[in-house]
Amino acid sequence: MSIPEINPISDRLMSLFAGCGYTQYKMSKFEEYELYAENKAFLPSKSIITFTDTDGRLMALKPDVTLSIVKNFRDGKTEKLYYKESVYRTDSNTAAFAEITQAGIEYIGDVDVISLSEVLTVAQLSLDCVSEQNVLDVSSLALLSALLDKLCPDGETRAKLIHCIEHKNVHEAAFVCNEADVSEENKALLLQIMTLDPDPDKACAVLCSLAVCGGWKAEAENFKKVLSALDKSKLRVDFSVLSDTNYYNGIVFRGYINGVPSAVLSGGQYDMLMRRLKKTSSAVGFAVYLDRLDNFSGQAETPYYDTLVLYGDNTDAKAVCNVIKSSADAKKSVKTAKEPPENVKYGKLLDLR
Amino acid sequence: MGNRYLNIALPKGRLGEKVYAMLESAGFGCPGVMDNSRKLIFENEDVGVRYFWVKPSDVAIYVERGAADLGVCGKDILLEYEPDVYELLDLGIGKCKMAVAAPKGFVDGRERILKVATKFVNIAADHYRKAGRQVDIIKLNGSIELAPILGLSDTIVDIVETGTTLKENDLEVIETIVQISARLICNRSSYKFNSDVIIKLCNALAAIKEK
Repeated sequence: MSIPEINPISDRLMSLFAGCGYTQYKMSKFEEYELYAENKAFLPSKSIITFTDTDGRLMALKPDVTLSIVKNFRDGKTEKLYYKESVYRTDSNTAAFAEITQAGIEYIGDVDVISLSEVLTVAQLSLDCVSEQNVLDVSSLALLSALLDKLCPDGETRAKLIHCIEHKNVHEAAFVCNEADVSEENKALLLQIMTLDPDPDKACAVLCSLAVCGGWKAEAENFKKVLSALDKSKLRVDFSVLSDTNYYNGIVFRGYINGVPSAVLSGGQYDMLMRRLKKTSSAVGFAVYLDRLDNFSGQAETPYYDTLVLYGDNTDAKAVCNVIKSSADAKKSVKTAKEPPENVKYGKLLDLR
Repeated sequence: MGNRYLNIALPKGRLGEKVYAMLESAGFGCPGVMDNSRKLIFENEDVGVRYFWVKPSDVAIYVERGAADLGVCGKDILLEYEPDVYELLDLGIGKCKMAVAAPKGFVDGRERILKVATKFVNIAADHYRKAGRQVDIIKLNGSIELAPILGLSDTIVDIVETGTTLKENDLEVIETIVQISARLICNRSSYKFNSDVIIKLCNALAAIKEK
């Protein structure tokens, strides 16, 4: 079977998600605006395209997929879903609205160590679908929050430190700690976490050896357990991976492809969002930003057709149509053209000119 | 998994020259970089670095978009544009401050909206927001000191290095917002795939800074 893929990466991702036991979730392009207005901080872009429906309700063009899925989820069961949907957000550079295609999975229900490992494995396989040269950065918001709680900074200092952690800004983190009278011991602890060796085994060994607070050991061991099941050759522990703690908790992660300047995959455990939407279950998921892969050279593949049919003005139309029908019956691909097309590979040439 | 060359964006001007001198001392030199030529890109295959000179305010964009793996720019640019990059090192050079200046003797009575002229709209807005002061920010692209003299604004928010220009125009610093210096910044994705050489370069620069 050699039907050319329209979008090889998204097709591969869809096959991967379906093959891993996730079922496709289709949704409407609109939702009631209220859902997004109440959870604006969860959205990467705060501007939302709204319109009034015929019944007077204020509607929004979907700026996010996860919120819609969670809203429609019913507690008491576990669902494994995948999607490929358009979302509408403002572009940070042009400030204009843009249609962005995302593909991803959501694991909602009973989330445990195995399901976390599973989602992270699917994330790694998703990156492999794009390029072998990839890295998945993993962090734990539970550990980071515990550390920041121990440092006990006020709200403003905490925000400054989070900014420093997110930007690997060790020199400024030290400065902020000094200004806020954080003890030398606690400052050293923070800087140690910020400069942790990214190798998962080494990082976990350090994390498990620390005693930051009461629940730290158990959380660090849990983190280690989740990572121990993964392919560690392209896995890094990096606490600069951060997400809003009002929505996310536990493990958060980002995926990078060599040659693409920003993260192409982002995800994490988002029990806090579930609580905000009055759900008692846990959830973890990720999205692949297909728009960021548009200019990735690894995506450009020359389309291949089993048969190339060339026809002229005097060619019998029935002959051309018969080739199309027989190819479709045989599950073979076919392309018809008046002139040999450029940048196309084919198996058999049928010249009917 | 690393790439053949580490692309480094240098800011044109005196700061960039100082930065290059540090990089050269750190063992990341490249012949021709300091030559006064029209050449735009300089490579040293042995060391695996490629340099290019860009407008100082563009360095962060080159790095954020991945055209450069590393770059050097002032903290003012990072605060103003908030590029999504790693800030790996304070190089301790190009020191100055972002400050509020006004004509000598100016007192903000807070009885009316304060008019502020600046190139750094976001930094100024953030500063006055934190202070709870309602302001009218006037975006200018140069000769900021002229604004209060001609009555266009009450105060200015600008970079102050020695304060000579302010003095010559009967202006004075009334408030320091933040200390500024040159920072080594890195593209997030590049850091993942070239971390060994980036950390090596970063440590070498840190050692030179300490001297």
